[in-house]
Amino acid sequence: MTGPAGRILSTGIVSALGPDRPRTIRALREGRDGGSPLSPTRSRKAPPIPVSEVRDPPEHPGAPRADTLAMQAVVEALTGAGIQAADLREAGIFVGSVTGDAFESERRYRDQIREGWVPCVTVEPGPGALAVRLARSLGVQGPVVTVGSACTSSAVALLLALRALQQGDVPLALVVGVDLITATLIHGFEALMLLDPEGCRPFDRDRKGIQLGEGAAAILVEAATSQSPAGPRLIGGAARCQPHHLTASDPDGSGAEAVMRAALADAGLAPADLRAVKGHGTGTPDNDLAEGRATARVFQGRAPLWTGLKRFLGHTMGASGALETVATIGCLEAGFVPGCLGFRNPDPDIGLSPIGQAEPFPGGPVLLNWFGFGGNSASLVIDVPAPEGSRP
Amino acid sequence: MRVLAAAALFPEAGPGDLRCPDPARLEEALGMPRPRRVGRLARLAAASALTTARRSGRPPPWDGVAVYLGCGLGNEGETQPVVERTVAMAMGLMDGPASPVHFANSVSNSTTFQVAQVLGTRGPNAVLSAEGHSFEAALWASRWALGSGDAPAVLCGGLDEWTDPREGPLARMGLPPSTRLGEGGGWLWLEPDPAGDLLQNPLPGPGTIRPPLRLDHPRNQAAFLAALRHLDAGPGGVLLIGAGVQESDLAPLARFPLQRQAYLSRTGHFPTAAAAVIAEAFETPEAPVIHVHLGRGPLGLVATVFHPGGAPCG
Repeated sequence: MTGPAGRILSTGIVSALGPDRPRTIRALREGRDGGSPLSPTRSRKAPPIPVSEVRDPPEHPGAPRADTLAMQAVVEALTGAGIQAADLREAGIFVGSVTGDAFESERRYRDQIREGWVPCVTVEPGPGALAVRLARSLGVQGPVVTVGSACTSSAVALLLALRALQQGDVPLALVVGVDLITATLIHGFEALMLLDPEGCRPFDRDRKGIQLGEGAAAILVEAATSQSPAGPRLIGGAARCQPHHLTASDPDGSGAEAVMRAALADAGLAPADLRAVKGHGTGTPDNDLAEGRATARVFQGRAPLWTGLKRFLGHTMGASGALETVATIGCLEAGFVPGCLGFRNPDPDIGLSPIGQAEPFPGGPVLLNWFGFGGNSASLVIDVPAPEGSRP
Repeated sequence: MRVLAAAALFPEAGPGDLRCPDPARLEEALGMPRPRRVGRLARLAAASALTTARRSGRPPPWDGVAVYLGCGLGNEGETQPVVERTVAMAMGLMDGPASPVHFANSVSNSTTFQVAQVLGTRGPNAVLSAEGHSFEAALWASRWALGSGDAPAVLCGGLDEWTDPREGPLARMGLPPSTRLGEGGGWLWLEPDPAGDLLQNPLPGPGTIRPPLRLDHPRNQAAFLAALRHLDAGPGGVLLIGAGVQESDLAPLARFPLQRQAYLSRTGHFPTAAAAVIAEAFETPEAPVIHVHLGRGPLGLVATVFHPGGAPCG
């Protein structure tokens, strides 16, 4: 890696498991299923599927729901780091999102139809508008970038933030992932026959598809120095594209394997150095097979504590990079690797099984993986010290 | 960063809004097979990216190359019909959702996926958005990828598409319906420059500035103006005046030998229009003057400096 590690100062999260980090991590420790029946307001024709939906977020009249969730996560992160918005002036903002303002577009379009207007959905802002609104409301004057790389979006945003810090272009980076469950996502994945009516079962033999989720997460990062206090560090990462098919992984998982190896090389680590791996684990038959085979090859059939979070948080699309990073760090700092909820039966075609129950975390480097439409893949390596109580 | 090659994609001249050629014409000229079930924006992106890659002098395979595309309006031509159909169906007004193909094509990075598939790239791949500064966002991402060694080269583009109804994208840009809407953009093939980055290399001197600069920050203004002092000793330059720029924005630059070029009359209005004229500057290396681009959007005034001199492309 060319440059210093990224010191993670603080994080914030709003998820189906809770409106903040403590409640989200508590639910992960308890192994609580994040799925519940979909609210009927999302679609009258939705299939009966469980989703990981954020219930009762605070109302801010006129504010888009995505902004509300994102700002809630940002405020938690800023508060946790003792940083005021004024301190962000020189910072950069790096947002990863797939749906962006689509939730509002659908809502306005529905209103137009009800009121008998000729619909015109294109009056909505562009994909970068949410980040620009965040930057303006926080007074940020550094680079503002919204990444669109499907389900790897906010993981790639975090990697770009690390690179910007390493090259001295920003003194501080605010990384945000936010995505909402929209009717377009529900019916799009329904058309692709990728929704599991029983909730997602990552890497399970009987898996049938994804469990949609929504939420927001924020991560404050700065370049680590020798004087930086102990804490989680982003020590490497990689992003790749294996353009096999727009919606399907390459069957042998060569793209997934390549990005994991590249991230480990960037961090200067060997597979045996890792203490845990957070898989992408969507629960779809093809993607989990490709990812599982790649993971088995990288770790020669003996992965360290391997888990997946999507039965908890749902598949939060482009936001999953930030949400799952924040959730993973929170669990590891609390001393455990969460079990892969939804997994019951090993898949002999994968040849590797995730952990079913939470396991103690001894401290050390962990690998986090994401894969998405368009053949995109991203892997990050984060070093998390042993929890306070378990240090020698 | 060093620009090895470039390809501009300008709309065709004509009355009313300005539109690019049919992608099939571009594909035929390049000897590309006509893709099936691929959106128009993705086809325009792939054809112009392939032109750039062929001009780079770098032989295929291009597997490690990153693809970063700035896009301000998004993949609206694909997204809009999917959203319309889905919402109408969700309200019980229509049977059946949009097809899986249309849904997949509506994802923003279907554009850069198509580029990767046509060129065979395997490096980082993403669409970058920041409203009217989306091409600048792609330049930032390119700088970070090259500086860190994440990719040996980057195809960095800016591209937006005309969509109907035209009032929609104009409203997004805060422009009245009488405005001439355009489409197009351009690509740059970027590689690391050991002598410095895009700005520092042609402008060695006081003031460390990085591409692109948001000039609302006083420190950035000072660094920008200090660096431009080198124009006085050179052959002058071109000031590309982008969207939203006001006369007061230009006043601090009046003392520099810059020839003004208001390019929006050639491109029409779209968020990444600057990519077309900047790529064009690198297509014609016989004019090795510094190009300064100004654009004002929701993030304020942004400047980027380019020096096409010595770029072996065209």
